[in-house]
Amino acid sequence: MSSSKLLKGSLATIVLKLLEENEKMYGYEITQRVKEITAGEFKITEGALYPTLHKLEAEGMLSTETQKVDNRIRKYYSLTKEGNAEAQTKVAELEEFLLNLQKLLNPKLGMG
Amino acid sequence: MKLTVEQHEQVVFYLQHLDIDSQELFEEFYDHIVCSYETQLQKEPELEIKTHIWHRLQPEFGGVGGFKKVIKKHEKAIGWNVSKRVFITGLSAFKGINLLYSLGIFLAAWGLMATTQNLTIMVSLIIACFALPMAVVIHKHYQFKKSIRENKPGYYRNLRNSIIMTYSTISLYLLYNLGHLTYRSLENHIEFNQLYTEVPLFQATLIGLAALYCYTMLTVMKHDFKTKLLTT
Repeated sequence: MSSSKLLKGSLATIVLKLLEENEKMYGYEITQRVKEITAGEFKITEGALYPTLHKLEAEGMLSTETQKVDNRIRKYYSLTKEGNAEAQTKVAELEEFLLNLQKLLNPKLGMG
Repeated sequence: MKLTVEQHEQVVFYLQHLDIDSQELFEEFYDHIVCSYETQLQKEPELEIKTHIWHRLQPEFGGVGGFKKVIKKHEKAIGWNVSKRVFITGLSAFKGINLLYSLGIFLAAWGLMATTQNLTIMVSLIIACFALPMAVVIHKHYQFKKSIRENKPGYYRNLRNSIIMTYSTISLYLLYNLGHLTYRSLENHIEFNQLYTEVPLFQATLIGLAALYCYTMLTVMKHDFKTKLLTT
């Protein structure tokens, strides 16, 4: 299974976490940051990223602002108060999931 | 490396063929394509914009129909949010202190209509019913547009008109019924009947007020949805 399929369910968490660490980001910047952090191992597709951003925005987790850059409009996303709380919850959930997954895949670690 | 005017035009040309209703999404895709192409040009200076879009960007968006799928999902998210916002706005009239205001205005108008025999008061009430809320809406709309102009230059959103039209129609339908109800309650009043049916100036005033109300409501809703919807 490719990493993109494994990533699919965690995309919202990744976006929220990145925005928690950076005040505001735009779509292209998010894809590049993920690529940079994971040295190209994880690649977020735009076809999945934008619907996730729009959904989180519609749910009130993200707020947006636009800025004029090089004569074009750039849309920046940032976390709302609710989004900030959601980011922490989602990251904690994912960490717990990964820990349990690790226990399943490598039971020796779970014993310790 | 920055894009030439011709390359920018090619990006716009490509996006126009995607038939994107939302100005906001158009601008977001435009920025994404330009950023991506500018980055790639540093590695491959000879790369053509068409090749970049067709062979690199489209697969990343999920193939030929990928852009369209993102557009559809965006419209769905907006549609849901518009409905939610309209519902919340509608409910706000019956919530907290607003309920008291609505009830107070309704009872005062009803009481005056039912008890007064003075035609001037009756006609003034009818006009006030249209004109006062409209004045508030126009004033708020002006303030809102002013604040957007000053605080967020270049901020622009465009949503599907059909959704806005649906809710505007509901508003106008309610207005029509209100007018009908008022007329029915006053039609036995001879002087009013004469004024309503035989005085062109009064009829023209009512039609004018109704037209202005429709225009204001449509404009307000359009701007309100365009600029506030996804940020509140």
